[in-house]
Amino acid sequence: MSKTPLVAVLLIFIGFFFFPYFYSVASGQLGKPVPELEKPKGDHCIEDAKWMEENHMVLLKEWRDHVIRQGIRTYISDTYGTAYNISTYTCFECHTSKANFCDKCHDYTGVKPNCWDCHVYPELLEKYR
Amino acid sequence: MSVLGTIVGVVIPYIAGFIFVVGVIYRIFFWSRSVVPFKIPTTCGQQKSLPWLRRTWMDRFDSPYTNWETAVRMLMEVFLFRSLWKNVRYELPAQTAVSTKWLWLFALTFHWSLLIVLIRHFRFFLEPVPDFVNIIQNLDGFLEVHIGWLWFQLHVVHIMITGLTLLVALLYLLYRRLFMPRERSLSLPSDYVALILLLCVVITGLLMRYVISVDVAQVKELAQGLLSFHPPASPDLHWLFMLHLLFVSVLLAYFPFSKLMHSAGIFFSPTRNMPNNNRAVRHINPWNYPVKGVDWDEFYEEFKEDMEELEQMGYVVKPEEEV
Ligand code: HEC
Ligand code: HEC
Ligand code: HEC
Repeated sequence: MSKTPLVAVLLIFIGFFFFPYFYSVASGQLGKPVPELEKPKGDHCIEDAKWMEENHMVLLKEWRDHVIRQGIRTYISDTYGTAYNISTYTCFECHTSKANFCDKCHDYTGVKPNCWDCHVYPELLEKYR
Repeated sequence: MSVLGTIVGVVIPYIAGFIFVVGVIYRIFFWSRSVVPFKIPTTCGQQKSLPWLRRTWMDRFDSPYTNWETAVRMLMEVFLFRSLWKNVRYELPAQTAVSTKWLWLFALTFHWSLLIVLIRHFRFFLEPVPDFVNIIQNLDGFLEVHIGWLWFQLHVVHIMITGLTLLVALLYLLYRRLFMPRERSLSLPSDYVALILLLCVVITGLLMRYVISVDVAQVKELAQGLLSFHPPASPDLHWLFMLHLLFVSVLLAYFPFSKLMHSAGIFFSPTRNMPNNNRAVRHINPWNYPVKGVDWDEFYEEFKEDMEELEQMGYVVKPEEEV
């Protein structure tokens, strides 16, 4: 058989399967662990920290529904019973920096929320103050 | 969890990855050495022939003559399943051909969804995550829906379209083998194993996205650890993710031995990868017995008397011209 198919298949196989390895080596970030996040203020998050880590996006979307659809503007924490004002900015009262907290983790996991096209965050306030 | 975590999270993925890479490369080289005795391109168009025989542009790719036409046909096969599009079934009473495009539709859906889902998984293996992965992810998840409380909290932020189409297409492919009489009688256990393994992978993946959320950052840490050959000593991740990883490992290890190798095999199919230029280019059968020919002088010597007699009768006796 001619060798063209062999070359083609090898290129595709190595290109697709080993691409992540070469890419990460080239960027010099191979094996990067979860980045250090900024220490938040306060002694607990809105809900249990482990739960927040996995479910904060659902919480935020739920908050949005609460405000926009039902007009509810306070949220009572299930875990701690504390009342919180529903706003995207509530998070930043304790997590004082978006870049050093939210973004670090989001960049690492490849998530790009579009919330801050419209909503305000500490760095933006800082810039226009 | 820790010993189990090490086995399922580190040992098994490495073994599976090794079997996958070595197995696939072995089979690729094995196939590339196989003998092709005849030129057997299957064609569905007018082949290149006399200049006044009409040949449309589609004919050129259905019955390719040059190498690049063959390459285009191969690409159409890989990306559009061209030959499956022409799938036809004969209905007996009326003796008519009914084209059956359902298989084409769902097979194409399945493969494209799988490709996009795989590219989306690059976010775990690439650091920093490149833009094209984010763009694909955003396009795929442009249905930004939040479903509130049912009897339990669904974890829906975005609906990733390809994840669901992948599931639907797989279910159809399984349905086809289970409930259509002809396909059922043709199906072997190995057909089902591949489908069921894929289903297990897809279902655990979808569960993670929509029902039981897992810590994505830690998953990436494990993936990066595996990729850099410095795996964590005892990864302690969610059981659902471990199950997902286990199914993927089994699938990878099974891959080189299974029909899933058709992904490489398609490139080695003589019916697909040869141009249909039989009449212009001679195909040498490697099995041909080495025939020792006779050259003109030997031939003349052997039939000398006959030749001379012919010459005396006025005929021209000379060697055939080289072409
Ligand atoms: C009252 C202060 C406070 C508010 C308001 C708050 N957090 Fe937290 N958050 C914390 C603290 C403190 C921790 C660390 C808890 C721990 O590690 O035990 C934390 C942890 C987290 C974590 C886990 C981080 C990790 O290390 O993995 C996430 C994600 C998070 N918060 C997101 C949010 C989001 C999103 C909001 C807004 C909806 C928010 N938090 C609002 C105080 C707060
Ligand atoms: C420990 C890592 C981590 C931290 C810290 C974190 N996030 Fe996230 N976030 C994620 C992950 C992972 C996802 C995507 C989950 C998925 O794909 O299901 C996500 C998704 C989101 C989404 C939904 C994304 C979308 O595409 O709509 C929003 C909104 C969000 N995070 C807000 C925040 C805010 C605000 C903070 C900071 C207060 C924060 N996150 C901090 C990991 C993190
Ligand atoms: C197109 C602009 C836009 C984008 C993008 C956007 N929002 Fe909003 N959001 C709004 C507007 C407008 C309101 C209404 C504010 C009000 O009535 O107080 C709102 C309100 C909210 C509220 C309740 C009240 C408040 O002040 O925070 C939440 C929570 C919220 N959005 C969350 C999100 C999250 C999470 C995202 C990202 C996934 C997001 N939004 C993306 C425009 C946007």
